[in-house]
Amino acid sequence: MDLSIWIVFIGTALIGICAALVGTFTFLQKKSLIGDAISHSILPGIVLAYMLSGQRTTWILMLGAFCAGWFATQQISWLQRKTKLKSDTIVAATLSMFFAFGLALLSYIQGRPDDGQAGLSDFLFGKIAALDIRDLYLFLGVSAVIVIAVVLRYRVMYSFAFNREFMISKGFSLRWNDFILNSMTILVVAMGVQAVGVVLMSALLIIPVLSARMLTYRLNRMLLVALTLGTCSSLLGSYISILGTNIPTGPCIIMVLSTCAIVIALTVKLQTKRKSHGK
Amino acid sequence: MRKAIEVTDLTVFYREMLALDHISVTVNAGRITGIIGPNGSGKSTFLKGILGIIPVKQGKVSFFDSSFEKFRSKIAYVPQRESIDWDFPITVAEVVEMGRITPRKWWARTTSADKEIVKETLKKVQLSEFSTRQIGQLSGGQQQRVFLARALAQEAELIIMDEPFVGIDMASQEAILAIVRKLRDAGKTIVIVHHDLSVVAQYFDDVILLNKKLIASGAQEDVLKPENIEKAYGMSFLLNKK
Repeated sequence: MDLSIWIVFIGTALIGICAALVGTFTFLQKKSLIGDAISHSILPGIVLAYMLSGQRTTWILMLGAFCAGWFATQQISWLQRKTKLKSDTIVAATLSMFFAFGLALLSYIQGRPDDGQAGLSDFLFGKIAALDIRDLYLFLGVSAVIVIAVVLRYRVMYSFAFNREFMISKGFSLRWNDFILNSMTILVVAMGVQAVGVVLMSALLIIPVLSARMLTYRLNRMLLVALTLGTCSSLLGSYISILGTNIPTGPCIIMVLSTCAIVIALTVKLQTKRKSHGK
Repeated sequence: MRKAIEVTDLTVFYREMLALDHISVTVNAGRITGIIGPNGSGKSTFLKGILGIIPVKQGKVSFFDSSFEKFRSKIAYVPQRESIDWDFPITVAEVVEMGRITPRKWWARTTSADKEIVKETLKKVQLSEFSTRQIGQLSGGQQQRVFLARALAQEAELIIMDEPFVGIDMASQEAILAIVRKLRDAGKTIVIVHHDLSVVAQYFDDVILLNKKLIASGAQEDVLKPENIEKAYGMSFLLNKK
C-alpha cells in the first residue's frame, strides 16, 4: 500500500483512540456537552491562526485551535462561577458565539483574492486525506501525552467523576482536575477536527463511550469497548471516505459509529426483553 | 475529654444567603455526635464548611489540636445519598478503593495491600458477596454501608456522615448504627448529620442543635430539652406534637 494511505490510517486510528479515551472521562464527569462546545469554538482559532501565519501548517492551526478552545472553556467556567445561569445555557451560548465568529472569518477569507481559503472549509466536515507525515508525527506526540495523562490520572479522574466532594475533602483540587480534563479534550478535538470536522467531532467523543456503557458498568471493560469502537469506526469511516464516495470523512466515521451504537442498543434491548420473559 | 473538632466563630454564606452565623462549638473525641436541626438549618453546610468543600466567610476549625490540612487524611466524609449518581458505572469494591487514594501519590494504582484492606472492610460491613455489583443494585442500607466501608478503608480517625439514615428502613438504620457504635468503641469519633428528632436520644451520645445559629450543644440528655428544641424547630413543632 501507498505511504499516504498508511499515514491516513494510522492518523485516524490515533484520533479514534484518543477520542475514546478522553470521551470516556468527559462522559463520566457529565461534561459531554463541553466537548461539543470546544469543537465548535475552535473554528475561529483555526482560521485566525491561518490568517496570522499565512500558512496551512498543522501545528500552527492546532495551536490556534488550542487557544480558542481554551478561551471557550475559560468563558464557560467563568460564567458558571459568576452567574446563576444553568450550565447547558452557558455552554450552548458559548458554542454558537464562537462558531458564528469562526464561520464569519471563514467566509471573509474565502472572498480574499490571495490563495483563497486554503481548504480551511475541510475543517467543517473533515478531510482525512489531507494528512502528511509531519502531521502524523505531531499526532503521535499529542497521543502520547494524552495516553500518559490518562494512565497516570484515570483513578483520580474516575473518583472525581463519581464523588467530587469526597475528593475535595481529601485535598484534591477540583480546578486542577477540570483543567487537565479540559486540556485533554481540547487537544483531542484539535487533533480530530482534521479528520472529523468541528461539527461532528463531539460525536466521536461521546458515541463510543455511551455504546460501551450500554454493555457494561465496569470501567476497564468500558474503556476497552469504547477504544475498539472508536478506532474501528474511524478506520472504516475514513476508508469509505477515501474510496471516492465524495462524502467528507466526518460524516462517514460518525455514520459507521452511530450504526454500531444502534446495533448495540437494539441487541441490549432484545436481550433484556428475553431475560424478563424468561423469568 | 479530648476535643476532636474545635470550631471557632464559623460564618458561612451559601448562595449569598447567611447559612451559618458565628458558630463556636466543640466535638468530643470517641463519641457519636449528632448534628440536629430542621431542614435548611445549615447542617450540611456546617460539614462542608469545616471540610473545606465550600468556602467559609470567617472562622477557625481545628482537628485534634492540629490544622485541617495536617489532619485531612484521617477524616472520612460520607456524602448525602442524593448527591450520588447511583447509575454511575462503578462497583462496590471500586467505591471502597477510593478510600485508598491520596493526593501525595495521585498517580499510584491500587496495590495488593490496598485490595486486601478493601476486602477486610467489606467483610466488616457484611458486603463481601456484593463486591463486584454495580452500586445502584444494592438496597439503601447496603449503599450506606458501602460508604461506611470507604471511610474504614481510609483508616480514618474521624468519620463524618451527612444524613445517612434518610430513605432507609429501621432495620438497616440499626445495622449501620451497630457498625458506628463498634467504631466508637474502638476509639473513633463519629459525626452524623440528622434531621429526624424522634430517634436522636437512642442514636447519639452528644448532640449539637443548630438552626443557622448554635442553639445548644453537649451530652444528648442535656441538649434535648423542650426549650432548646422549641428554639431550633419553632413553636409549630411543639403544637404538632400535642
